[in-house]
Amino acid sequence: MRERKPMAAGKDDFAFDALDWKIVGLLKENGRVSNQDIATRLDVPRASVSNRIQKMTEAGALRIVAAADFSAYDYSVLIALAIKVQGRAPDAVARDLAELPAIFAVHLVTGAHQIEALIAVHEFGELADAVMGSINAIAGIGHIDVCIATDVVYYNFDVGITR
Amino acid sequence: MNRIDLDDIDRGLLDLLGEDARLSNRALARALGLAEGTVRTRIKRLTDRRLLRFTAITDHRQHGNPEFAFLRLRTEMRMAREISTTLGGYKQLRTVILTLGNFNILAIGLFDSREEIAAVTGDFLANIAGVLDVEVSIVTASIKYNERTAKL
Repeated sequence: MRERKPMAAGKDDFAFDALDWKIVGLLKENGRVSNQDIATRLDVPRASVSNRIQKMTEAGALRIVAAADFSAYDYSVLIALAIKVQGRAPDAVARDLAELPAIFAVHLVTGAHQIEALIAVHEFGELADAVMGSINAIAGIGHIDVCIATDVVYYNFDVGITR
Repeated sequence: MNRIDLDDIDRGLLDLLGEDARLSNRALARALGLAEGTVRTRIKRLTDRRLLRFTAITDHRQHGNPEFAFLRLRTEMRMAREISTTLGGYKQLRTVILTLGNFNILAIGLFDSREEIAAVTGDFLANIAGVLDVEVSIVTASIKYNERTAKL
């Protein structure tokens, strides 16, 4: 059976209408387009643009972000971990992993292992010094399968995951 | 992923915008003690160099509650790059990364249903020449996900 985290009341019911999608479309192109510009381009009052953005954002359905390239923060090493958990609830292990700053993403999964995690560090030395020590200190990690990213061919992130 | 020289002004802007992408140039200028024109120029330079991008992220449930899955592919080594390009043509596979390790390619996708995952792994991937093995992990819960840094 699949499990999803319980969500705040009402969030699940929220659905974009046609105008919401038009606003979102402009924001995906440029997250810094002003409410006034959106209003002019869609021929609607500025107040309804700001109301709708606020409603979508408060419902957790929309996040307007400034994304920096990995290289802007000097992240040059990206590693995917497939983790087998032993003797502990995978959720508890995942939450401990999520506390580590080098861990960029943590997901609970079905399949041969229970956790998928992504690590971003500035250089390989950091792995030995900081990252592996902290990971090894977490109880319940049985085995880690490692893949080192050599080239990111495609990377799309405009559809987000509920947290 | 080359090292790129950014100064404190650039980093200050990235940090502030990472917290709130809709901060006005005026507010940014005030926070960093800069002229508004400097803020505008710097933001333009960062976006032109593809180090910064402003976008809107929609929750996956607005797209029909798709299944989010990690696919690890073991391929003929010399064909890995060609296969990764082929995978990019499949719209459900949103991220494709060449890797060194037990597997050669990591693909992350959003699928309409489990049936679609089965169709992709069974029919589509299995029929690409050079694909030797596919391991599928379907996400049941996302504990942490940071979209403040990405491959732009």
